[in-house]
Amino acid sequence: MPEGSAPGVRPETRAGAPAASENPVPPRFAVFTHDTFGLGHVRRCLRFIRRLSQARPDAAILLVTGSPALSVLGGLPPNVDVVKIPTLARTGSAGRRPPHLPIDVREITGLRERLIHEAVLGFAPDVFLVDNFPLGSRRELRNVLEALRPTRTRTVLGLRDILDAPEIVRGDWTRLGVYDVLDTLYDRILVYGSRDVMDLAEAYALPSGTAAKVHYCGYVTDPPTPAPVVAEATRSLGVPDRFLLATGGGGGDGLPLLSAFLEALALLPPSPALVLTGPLMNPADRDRLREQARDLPGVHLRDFLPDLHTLLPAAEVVVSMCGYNTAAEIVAQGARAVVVPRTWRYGEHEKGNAAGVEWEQLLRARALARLGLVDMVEPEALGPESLARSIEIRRAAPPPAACALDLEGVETVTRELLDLASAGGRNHARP
Amino acid sequence: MTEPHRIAIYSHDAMGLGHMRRNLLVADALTRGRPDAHVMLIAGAPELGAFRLPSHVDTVTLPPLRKTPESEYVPRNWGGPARDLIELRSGIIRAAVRSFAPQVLLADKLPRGILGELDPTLRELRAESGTRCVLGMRDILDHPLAVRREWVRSGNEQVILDLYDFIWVYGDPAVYDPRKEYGFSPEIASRMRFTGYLNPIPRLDLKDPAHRPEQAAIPGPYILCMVGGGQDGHELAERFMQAPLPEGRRGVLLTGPFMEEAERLRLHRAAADDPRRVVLDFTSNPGPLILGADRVVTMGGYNAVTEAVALRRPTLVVPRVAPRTEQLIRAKRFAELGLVDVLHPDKATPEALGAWLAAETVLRPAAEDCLDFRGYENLPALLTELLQTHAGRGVRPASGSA
Repeated sequence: MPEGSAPGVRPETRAGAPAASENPVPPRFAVFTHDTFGLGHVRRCLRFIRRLSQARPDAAILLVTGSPALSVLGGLPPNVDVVKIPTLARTGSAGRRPPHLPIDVREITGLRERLIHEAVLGFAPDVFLVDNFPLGSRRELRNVLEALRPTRTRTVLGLRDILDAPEIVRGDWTRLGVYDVLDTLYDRILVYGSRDVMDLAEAYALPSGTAAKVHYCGYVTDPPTPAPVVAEATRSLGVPDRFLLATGGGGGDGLPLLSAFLEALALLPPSPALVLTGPLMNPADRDRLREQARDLPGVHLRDFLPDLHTLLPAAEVVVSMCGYNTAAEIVAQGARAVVVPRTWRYGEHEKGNAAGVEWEQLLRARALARLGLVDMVEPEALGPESLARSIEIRRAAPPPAACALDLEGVETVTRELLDLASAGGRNHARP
Repeated sequence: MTEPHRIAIYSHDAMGLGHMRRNLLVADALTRGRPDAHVMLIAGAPELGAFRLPSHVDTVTLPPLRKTPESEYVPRNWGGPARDLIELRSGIIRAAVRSFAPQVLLADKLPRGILGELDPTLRELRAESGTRCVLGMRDILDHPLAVRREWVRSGNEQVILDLYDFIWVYGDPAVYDPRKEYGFSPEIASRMRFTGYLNPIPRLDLKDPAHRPEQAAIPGPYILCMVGGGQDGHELAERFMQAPLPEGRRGVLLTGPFMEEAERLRLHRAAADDPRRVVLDFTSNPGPLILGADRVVTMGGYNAVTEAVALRRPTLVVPRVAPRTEQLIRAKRFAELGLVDVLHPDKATPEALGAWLAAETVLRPAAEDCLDFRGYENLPALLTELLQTHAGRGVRPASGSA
């Protein structure tokens, strides 16, 4: 499709973005996203992909992923293709596992590695974006990245604002050889976050050569929703003017928080509430919540709202965990929020922290709370009383401080990818 | 037999979702009947992600192509030429099969895959490994003349002789015998095994609360109209929307995911003005919706017809008649057995549809009393037979090392 021929789609015209005429060969972008069981990674990648497709309707975009979640996230732009590879089952109780082949994890990894290799090398993209895990799972990307090195494909690693506690990341990266990979196999590192929340180069002790590849792009989220759109969203959902909103994110591990929220409601003056379980919550957990909500008037349970961000500004208080996407949405939409970060490993809420502690959400929540953007309940203090109290306090308090964080992640990442494609890629030799 | 069996299924998926649905059912049959088996389903379109997978099944999906009414394959999304996409798909299929190292490769319908994309994989398997290759196909492909012409042109017979061990036909030769109708050579005919029609009930979760008619805001008794994937279903859809409905019945139309956007919107607009009409776009599990219908009007795809007769709904089939006559042949054969009524699309005016809806119905025989409907149950035994033969028995002596 020639540039600009799609109605309502104009080529990117911001400073730094190439005009189509400078780059007549349609660029190719490949994106690899890891299939952790939540929706966060795939959703984030879809944002770049949609924006890229809009900026360059002539581009060819290939998404390679093992995530089975793609189908719940809605349509892809017409110039995007997907290669789905076999899913890696992460640890977790059996009911929570995605469909997978019951074969040895090393073998599945080998299978995935060869499929990724075939797909990416065969596609020969100008830019290959790897989301958040420099080597994928179990080093499955190592050979692919090496094979791409002599080609003209530029390799980009996109990293979340916070991965885990710095000392854990440093240990993992040393053990897995990630420092060497960042030094020799990646051209650029894009951070979907802000140095105000975490300085990655310092926290992860990047050597200066690698640190020079790091660009902070801002949070990847939707822009603030205009008031009429918020009003329309609340009207079409039939929610009253004043309501509480609790979300379990993707839903794979939302039970403890949502259950505490429903108990907290019983302690508060009656208030309508919308509870979003998330599409990945297992049916037994969902039934438990439904049971709990039955005697609470005005409380509605829903699985999923594709445009949650349009509803956030309308809620009196939003209660959620502190995963990347939800946190960024809360901050961008200026929602009044009480966050309760998850510290157990994903999908292991029955075991609690016995299975190991993840610091990502806790560090993010503390940073955002320090900036005055959210209120937070420390995870070990979570209970109906503490949650009810925090909701009451948040409800009575003034709105959050104007957000000083960079929220332009989608634009900035897209521009970086377009720049790399026009500077390198198939039209130019690597310097 | 304790070693786990691995089966790779290739589903080209260039036309609607029928092949994908049937292959999911086959995957389910092969793994449920044999808990020691697992399946990698290589699907040619991403819609596979919308379906619930049986256990012990995972998927690889490829960027899709579609078949135009002129029978040309073109990429659905990919901006470049089909050739480039075929090369990418072919490489991924080969890498997937090679790494998975299955005992069995089951290819659906096209012995060489789309534009020969399976050729490198098949040749490599035949040269290097003991993987048995099976072609799975419907009993009815098209008008015999068209099938003969296409098979000669694509060299299918030679490919089967060289590279396939068996052909599984998802039908009953008493209803339609492709060996006779299509004049296959004795060598090809001898490799055919009839599985029986695949009863779709195992994949139709009839109690699935998410797919109940109430969920689709259908309050009372209704007639259901299904037009397959929707790519050529708008004519029947529009006529159904204009057909007079019996007293106290609503008309529910399922458009399918591939209907042209403009046509789909026109149907939705028409329904918005009429409280007795409901238009739905897609359901991954049509079971509860079919079961709840008083009567069913449908195009004549394999899945839709077997679904309607398995659930014993009074059914009128308005088959596709061009570019292929497959549906017309199926509809007539099923009508001869007394399982359905059939109406040629040229005669399927709103009034004719209305007349059928208003006519009295009689109880139809159960499909399992008229034809072999045990394909799902028979597949595990056929798998066992396959595993007990050496790969390549057609081209090498059976005693040769596999």
